[in-house]
Amino acid sequence: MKVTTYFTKSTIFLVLVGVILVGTAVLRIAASNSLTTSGIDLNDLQVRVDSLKKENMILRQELYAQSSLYDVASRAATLGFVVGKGDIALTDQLPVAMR
Amino acid sequence: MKRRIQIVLFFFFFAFLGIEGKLFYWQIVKADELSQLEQQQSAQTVIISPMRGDIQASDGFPLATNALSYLVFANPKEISDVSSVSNVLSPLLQIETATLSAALMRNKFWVALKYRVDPVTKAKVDVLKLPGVGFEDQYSRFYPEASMAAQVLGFIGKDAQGNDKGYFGLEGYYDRQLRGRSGTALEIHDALGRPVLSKVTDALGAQDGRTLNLYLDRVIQYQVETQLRDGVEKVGADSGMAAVMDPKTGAILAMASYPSFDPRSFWDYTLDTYKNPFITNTYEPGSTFKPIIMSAALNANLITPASTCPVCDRPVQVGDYAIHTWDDKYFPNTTMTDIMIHSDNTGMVYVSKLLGVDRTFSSLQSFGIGNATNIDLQGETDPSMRPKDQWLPIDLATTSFGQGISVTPIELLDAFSSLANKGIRMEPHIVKSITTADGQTISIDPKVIDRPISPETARVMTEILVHTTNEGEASFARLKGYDIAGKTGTASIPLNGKYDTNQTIASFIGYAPADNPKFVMLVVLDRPKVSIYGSETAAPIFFSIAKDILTYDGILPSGGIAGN
Repeated sequence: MKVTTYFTKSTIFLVLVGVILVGTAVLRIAASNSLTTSGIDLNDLQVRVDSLKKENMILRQELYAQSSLYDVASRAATLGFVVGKGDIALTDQLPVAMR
Repeated sequence: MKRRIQIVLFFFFFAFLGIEGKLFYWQIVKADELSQLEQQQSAQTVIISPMRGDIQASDGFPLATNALSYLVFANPKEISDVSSVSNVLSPLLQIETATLSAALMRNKFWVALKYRVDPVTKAKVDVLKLPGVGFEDQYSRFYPEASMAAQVLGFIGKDAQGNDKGYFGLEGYYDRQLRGRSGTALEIHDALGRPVLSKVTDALGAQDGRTLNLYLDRVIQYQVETQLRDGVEKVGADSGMAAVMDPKTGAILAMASYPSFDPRSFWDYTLDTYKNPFITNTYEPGSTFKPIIMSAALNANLITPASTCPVCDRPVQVGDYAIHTWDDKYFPNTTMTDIMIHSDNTGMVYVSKLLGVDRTFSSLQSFGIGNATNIDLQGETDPSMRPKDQWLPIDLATTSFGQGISVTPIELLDAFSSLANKGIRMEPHIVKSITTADGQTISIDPKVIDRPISPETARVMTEILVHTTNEGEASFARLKGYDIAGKTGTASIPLNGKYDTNQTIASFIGYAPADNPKFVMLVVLDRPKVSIYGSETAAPIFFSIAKDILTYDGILPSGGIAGN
């Protein structure tokens, strides 16, 4: 009876250790395998981020160029706008007869 | 049998011992060396270049920012038909065909064809799919307002190592703030060059440049530049400059000079045009200096506005020199107010004699004359006054009407601004605050430098100057409905030890509205041809700009419905 019990515990222990070892090895291989190919996704994301940043920068340049005072003044002059000769200031007092 | 088994066991034991020893050697002893080798093979240290900071006007619009551009390069080894490629690229890149051909025939793997190519041109070249032609991203300085405030901004050049460096103006003065700091990142790649997630790239030490937020008002700057350019061309002056400052804070709202340069192509201009003459050039200010001397005398209680001059009925003799008025008209018993209205040199000589050398010298120092203003622009000249013990009576006399003494325009503007700020002189400043790359804002507070005169003296001097504007030689050009405190200046230019009366520096300085000044402005013209007088050349430009600024600020003229 004693020999059987000793043999069973040892076997169970060895099998358990084996399963854990093999199991962790398999898990590690699976994880590494998945990580090694994620570089492709990372690269794609980085390329997309760079592309969007560049597009943003180009649009920003265009916006600033279009809204610069010198550009607006130049286009206004082309359209026929001229600088006003006189200014009129109205004060609080209404320039009309109330009665 | 047992012995053989033991021998085999010993053999295996020592074999495995050897393997373990070797493993220990490579994995423990040589670990660092192998790790470095591995990094060299699969890792790459990347330099992260910082983005240069922006320079923004008071409304947040960037006057200088960064733009994406491209370096077009080629691999001559991959180009078989050089002639065809050169002919196609030449009109797009604006480079001569021969130059392109020469570059493409070089025995190199990489040649640069053109720097700073804009995205539109790049797209046109890209669509051609030329073999051996590629692009590299670059960031170049972009000025959305073109040459606006060019001499205030400065430009970006290269230093001896080929790195970007700011020169002149704000780009030069704040170069270290704007430049930022480079960093490094370690990237691990697989055999095909793709990044591996197991090592995260860290940009160690990289920091983008800081953004400068200016007091400069884009609208006022545009008005000043436009009016100055038109005015200089109209009067035929060699050049002109103007600046507008808030006397209460020292904030520079606008600063312009004409001719100027385009910072986008600074290499097409001469060195002279890079300098900001408002802070680098010295000149004899002429009659615009008289309010400084008179306010010093008022402050010392030596005179009042109604005090009379007993020697103003004829030219004043100072040693071997006779001091005349500008028009040889003399007014017996003229008051101090009238001396200013008529810009009377003899009256000013009388005032300077009352002051004496000691009080004149100390007053001028208190007004900042003879010292740099410490404005935050690169290139300010530091003009010094003649030492007090070297002043002769004629120096005291000529200084009283702004000749025989040299100042920079910014020096005069800063000194004059104390009249508009209850006697307090502020340090002029272009930059209001600095924003770091992570969004933190560092304010630069206005700085009081000195109090050369009392508030009461400033008030009295302001009244005198309002009379001067309304009744003096420039009264024909003044803005009706506004009280402007100002003074004309017509200074002869010294040449070879003598004054050439046919060549002048014409100027006008003033502030408005007189009761609560929003701005103080100085306009200086170099050698106007139409007329030599400041009242007929600089004053109209001053009033024209002042009208625009007052309208822009919504400051109404006093009294009923008014029209100009």
